[in-house]
Amino acid sequence: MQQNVSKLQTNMIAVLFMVSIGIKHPPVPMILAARQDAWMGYIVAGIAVLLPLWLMDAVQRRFPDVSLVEAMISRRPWVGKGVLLLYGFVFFFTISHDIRFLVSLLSVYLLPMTPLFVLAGTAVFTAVLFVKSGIVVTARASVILGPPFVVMVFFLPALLTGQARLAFLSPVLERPLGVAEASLYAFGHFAELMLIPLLFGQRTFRLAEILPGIAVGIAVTTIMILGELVLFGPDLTTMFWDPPYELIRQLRVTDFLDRLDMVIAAAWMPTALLKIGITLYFLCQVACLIVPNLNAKLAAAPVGILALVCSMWFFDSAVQLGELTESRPILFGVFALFVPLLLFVVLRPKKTKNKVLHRK
Amino acid sequence: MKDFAPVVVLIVLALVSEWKGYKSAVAANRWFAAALYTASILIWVWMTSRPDLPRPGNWIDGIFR
Repeated sequence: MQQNVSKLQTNMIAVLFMVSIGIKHPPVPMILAARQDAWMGYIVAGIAVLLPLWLMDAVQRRFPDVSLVEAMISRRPWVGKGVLLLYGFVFFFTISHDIRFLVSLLSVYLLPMTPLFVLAGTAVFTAVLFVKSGIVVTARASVILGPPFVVMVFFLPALLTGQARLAFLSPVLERPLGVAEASLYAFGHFAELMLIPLLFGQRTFRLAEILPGIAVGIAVTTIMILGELVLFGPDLTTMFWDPPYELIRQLRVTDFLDRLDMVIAAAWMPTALLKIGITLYFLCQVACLIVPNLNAKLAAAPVGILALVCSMWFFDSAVQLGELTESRPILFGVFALFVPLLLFVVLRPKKTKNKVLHRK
Repeated sequence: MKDFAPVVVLIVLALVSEWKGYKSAVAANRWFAAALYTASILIWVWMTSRPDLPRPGNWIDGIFR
């Protein structure tokens, strides 16, 4: 796997994975669980996700020259391929979910007359192009396409000050158990960060170096949910299918910029496309490691089309995509906590002869 | 035929754009692509012919909720 990805690019990929879908689905179940304290859930989940990432980092430090995936397959081929296949299934489910969500969002808000299949085909075509360009080009694209949305979110509090009602945030810490539940829902999305150690080797992925990216991801998601809470209040926010879009629709900056929501939606769209592209890249790499002599670039189109078809099959409706947030913590919790723990135990460094002699 | 036309069109487009790559690549690539494209068509046909089809999204909801 390619290693020429800078720290900034890795950080940006971490932000994209936390933010692009993480701001969309979790707010409703989080607010239902913790009401006005829901914003704390993102912070707790952001801290909690450091544990599995630290475990992966600790395993990876034992193999400084290769990526974790390559280490798994070279040390324990069957265990490695099995774990990889499981991750492949989970991220295949994720990519199908993301394609369906992006397409449903486009269909509901922006292009209601265009068939879903055409929208999904366009999204998959873009993702296939990302895979064919390689991870280095995709990572560079993330540094260009990701920051506009992040910067806009940091300006949101200033734009919303006139309409915000801070009274919606009190009383603070009324439901500590609700905050715990809300952080579980956020964790279900943040756990997708597990893809980063699987994609990159030790030279690129070090936990300490992607901490700024994780901090920005937490900040962006927290600002968005705080905006929803102070603008609509806990009751109204839970009525929406896509609270962040309703939030940005409230922005009015002079008469000339009364459709600022379109600009922000246009800045968000590439972040979701990049996430789909990077997930597809990972799936193609998994296919290459499991099927001998397979070319990842040639595998992109078949895997992408299968993901598109499954995105229509797997999910009943656009509403179900949001409801799935409640079951994601368990699905991703297994992969984010137990699999790194298993790898930590199974992939122990081999004892060299020198070390054994030294001990004697 | 009308039901599965979209997926067939998409696969034909993908095959045309990747033709040179498949021709020069080893057989494993062609087999892999053939298997996944066939699976895509079969799932699509099955999906369009059965409105009450079981959906993995519902299974996961049912198991974990």
